[in-house]
Amino acid sequence: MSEILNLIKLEFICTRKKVLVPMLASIIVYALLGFFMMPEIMVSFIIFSGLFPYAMFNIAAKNNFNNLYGMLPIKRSSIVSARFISGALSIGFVTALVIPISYAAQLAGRYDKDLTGFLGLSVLNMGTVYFVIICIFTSIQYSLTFIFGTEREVIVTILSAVIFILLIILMPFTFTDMIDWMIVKIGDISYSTPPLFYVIAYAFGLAVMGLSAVITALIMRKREL
Amino acid sequence: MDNILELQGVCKSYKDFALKNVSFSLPRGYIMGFIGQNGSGKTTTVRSILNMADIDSGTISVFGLDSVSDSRAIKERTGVVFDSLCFAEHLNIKEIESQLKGFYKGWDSEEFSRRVGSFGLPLKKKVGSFSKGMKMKLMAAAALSHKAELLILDEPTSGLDPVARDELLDILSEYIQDENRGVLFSTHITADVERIADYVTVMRNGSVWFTGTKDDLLEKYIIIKGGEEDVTDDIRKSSIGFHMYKNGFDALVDTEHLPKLPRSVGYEKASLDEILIYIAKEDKHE
Repeated sequence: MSEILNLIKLEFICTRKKVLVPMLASIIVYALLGFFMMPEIMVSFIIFSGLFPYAMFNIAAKNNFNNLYGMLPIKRSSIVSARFISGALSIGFVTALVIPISYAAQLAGRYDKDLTGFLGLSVLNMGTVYFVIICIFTSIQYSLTFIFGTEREVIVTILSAVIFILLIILMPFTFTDMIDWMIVKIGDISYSTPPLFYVIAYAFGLAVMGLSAVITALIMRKREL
Repeated sequence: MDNILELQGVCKSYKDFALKNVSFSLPRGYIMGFIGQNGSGKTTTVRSILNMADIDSGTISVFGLDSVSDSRAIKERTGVVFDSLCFAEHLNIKEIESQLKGFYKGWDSEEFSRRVGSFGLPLKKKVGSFSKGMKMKLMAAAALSHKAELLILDEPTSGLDPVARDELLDILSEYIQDENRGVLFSTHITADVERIADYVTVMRNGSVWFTGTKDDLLEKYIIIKGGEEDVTDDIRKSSIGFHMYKNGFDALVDTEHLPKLPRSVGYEKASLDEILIYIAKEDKHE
């Protein structure tokens, strides 16, 4: 566990100047625009949170980090685990910032102050949905990047989008009954016990990332540095 | 003799290249020069020792531990210097130390500061702006700051000026004064090996062509030169890198063939550089 924490620290030190400042600046700009923007759109900024931690792949490729990982006393699977955890932390951090800021902007802004918002979905609900969406997309993108490498960034980006869209399109047709049941159940929980809905949703997003990390680590065990 | 590093029958295949039955040992307290042409298998061997590449067969043991199952314990005690910087270039030395120290139980921040100071490296400048020599010194400082017993250097002097190369060799000479340590120094600059190595392993086309003491290697081979009329079938068969030119020939031969040579054939000692050149000539003919 300590080597994973050290790897997360290593990645944080690498990315904080390149990623943290642009990320915070973007959130501030979004917050200011929130005065003029529908908060439901503002909270969609969470979708972009997945772009920021991806910078670590490019930093690692540019600086021969394969050699660095080769000399450090770590397991290969720890590299994968740390990357996914860093990604999840980054997405979580942005979500935790953006949702309250969106609420604040909604209350202070020119748009309707009814917190049930657009299509009956509150900012918190929409933020939660975006969180799950970006967790799924990031899981696919990270796995493919580990497998194909940053040299094939274009292929990875296209494949990630294609797989993601296929999942969204095919799932309702493939698992129609299950999807219908889930939608009804989620609706019931959301209405009767809203906090439980959020716990389930965030746990689901993180579980998808966790599963993707495990599968990627198993594949990368056989790969050379 | 206690070996700090042992390779036995190591084989590793890629599409266009293979390590074949690589075996050599580095005793504690000595420096081994690991030489060979570009593409002879030096870096592949180093990567195999560090478990960065999975070997197909054979065994690698470091400090008596298996290089695969005990990889982390080995790397805790091993310092590595590669031919290019493997730290984030937009960071400064303090930030890089902050990244590294958590990985090593034996990390010594005072030793790292002392090394960085003695190498004259600026603490707050981005390491990407360092010269090649400064980058190599930074890697050496990091490798020497966690009480490493084995230093592995993979072509660290390539691209360095003679002054920087000399400084690195001084660092290694100082390091090996502790007899419990060892150094594996991979390079194609044979002058560096001639200066500080005790043992030499020569790689050729993925195989070990020679392994033993430097003195044994230098005494084992000579360069012979003679006229056209001195060329015999025996000389052609026993020579390495036989080269016929307008008025005569030259070649590398094992000293065991010396008694069989015609008296008219002259001979002289071969340097490591010349040995590698004649091996390369032999490969060209093949």
